[in-house]
Amino acid sequence: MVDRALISIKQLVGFAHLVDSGRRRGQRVGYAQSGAADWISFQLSNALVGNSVDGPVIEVMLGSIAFKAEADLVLAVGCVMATSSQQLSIEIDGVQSKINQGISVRRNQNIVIRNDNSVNYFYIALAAKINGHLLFGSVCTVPREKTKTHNNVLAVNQILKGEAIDNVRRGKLRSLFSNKELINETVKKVRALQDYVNMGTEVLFFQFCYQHMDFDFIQKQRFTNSEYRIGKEAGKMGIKLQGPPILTQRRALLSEGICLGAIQISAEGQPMILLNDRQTLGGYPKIGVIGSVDCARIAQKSMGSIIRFESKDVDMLRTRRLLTNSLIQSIRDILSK
Amino acid sequence: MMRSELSFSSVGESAILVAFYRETSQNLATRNQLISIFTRQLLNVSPQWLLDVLPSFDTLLVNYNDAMIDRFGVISFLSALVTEEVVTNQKDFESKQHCIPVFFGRPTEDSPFDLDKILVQKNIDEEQFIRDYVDISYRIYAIGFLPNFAYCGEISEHLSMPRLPSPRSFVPKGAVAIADRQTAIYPQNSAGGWNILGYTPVTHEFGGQIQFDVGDELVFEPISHQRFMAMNE
Repeated sequence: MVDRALISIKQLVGFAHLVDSGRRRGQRVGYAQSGAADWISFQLSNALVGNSVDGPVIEVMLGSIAFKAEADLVLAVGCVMATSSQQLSIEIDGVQSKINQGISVRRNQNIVIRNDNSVNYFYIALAAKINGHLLFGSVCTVPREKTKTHNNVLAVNQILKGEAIDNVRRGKLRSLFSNKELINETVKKVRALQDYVNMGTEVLFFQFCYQHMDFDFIQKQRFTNSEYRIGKEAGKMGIKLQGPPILTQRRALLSEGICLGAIQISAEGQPMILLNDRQTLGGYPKIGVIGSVDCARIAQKSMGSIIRFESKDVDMLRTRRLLTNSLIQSIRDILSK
Repeated sequence: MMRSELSFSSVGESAILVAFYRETSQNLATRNQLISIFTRQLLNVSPQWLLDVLPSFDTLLVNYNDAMIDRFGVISFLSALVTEEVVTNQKDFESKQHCIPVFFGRPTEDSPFDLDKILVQKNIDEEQFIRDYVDISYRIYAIGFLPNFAYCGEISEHLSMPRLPSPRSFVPKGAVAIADRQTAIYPQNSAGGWNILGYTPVTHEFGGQIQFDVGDELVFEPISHQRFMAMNE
């Protein structure tokens, strides 16, 4: 394993750690699925530097970061929900650069990324093989689990190690990044992805499933016709919502597996959307599941945001995911030209 | 028989929930056994699209890669697996047995402990309670809440206790506890609302030498404070 310094962290506000697409086969012994909260921005950042879309990147949560390049590098800062440099900006040695675009940096250059907190997560992908502890094939860390992947949580002065792509590949990417035609094509495709993902921002598409039969017609109508506000308790485990209560007579429920995006209804009738770091099992009734595209969207929403639920067929949710995948793939394809 | 009692339903675009219909005639232990056999059969075959399996009391959540297969493909695969494998292999199913040493007391003065209060409330002497508790070989119905936290059951009706009115903010790892008719071991320090009967010194082996699985059996062996301290070093 090549173990060369890639970057060193100089400043950090918030929380930063390595993430990928999540763990495989750990849930049956109680380990959370985990994975990047906004998987679309995570995959986009990887695509922009020509990586496999599932490889490890840095996830910065609720904050900003500054680091120094310890080698000549190609990197990208990905955040689909950030559409202006006021929201999320990147400077290289004091010169403004662009997010959602591949960038080439030299050793010893300083990179500062500032987030005005209108997004919760952004992703830094390096064209490199990043070394991190693995658990169930993943670098992800879930704080409550206290596993050895805790070393993948980044701190000031920490040096991230791994193997950067070779000079030939880096040179090829640099020449692509200076090709105006290709840049325009990338910008256009990123914008298409942003337009698609950010369309109808307050509406979340979901499927009625799990114990939805235990909620009567009136409760279901109330659920889809009401507005809900994101409360204080929101994070990678899940997001608690506040709004008109949804009631059911169903009480006793044997704990069962909870999938990504499940909408659990508390005893008081308030919905909670369960995300990547959720506990594996739960015994509260669930009225449905939001699609994975909307999991990424709601993860980025701040406290106080208003959302609504719109019922869709499960095949519609899948179509949205496949279309998002293909938009990301089309960006990656540009770099393989 | 079994296939007609199982339902396969989509929960989101990349998971199928396998569950028994409510009118099933099977009791919980049988349902749990069929789920654990089915889980192992599915893992043995491990189709490429299978991302994760999450068995619980009487359900199985199957996560799949929806870029490789659609829900109809997964459901027909699972239906075929039920008829071909689970019923025929039910008799051959063998579960592991784990023997867990437990000190029924406080290892240190400040260790949280509820057994003394339970004995008063139930008007039962300590020896009798411990004997009745360890007399049963418990089944692991599900693993979750924390890594390696095994929900086991069922403890005798006369020993059962509801959860604490409000959970403790700190339960030390190794605490052996009960809630309703379930029992479990806290594999690491955490918050928790179950009634603590004692402590085991072997939590460091969970996930290593001791690999819990749904369907396994757990037996508890009472040990002295002295032995607990020696094993805990």
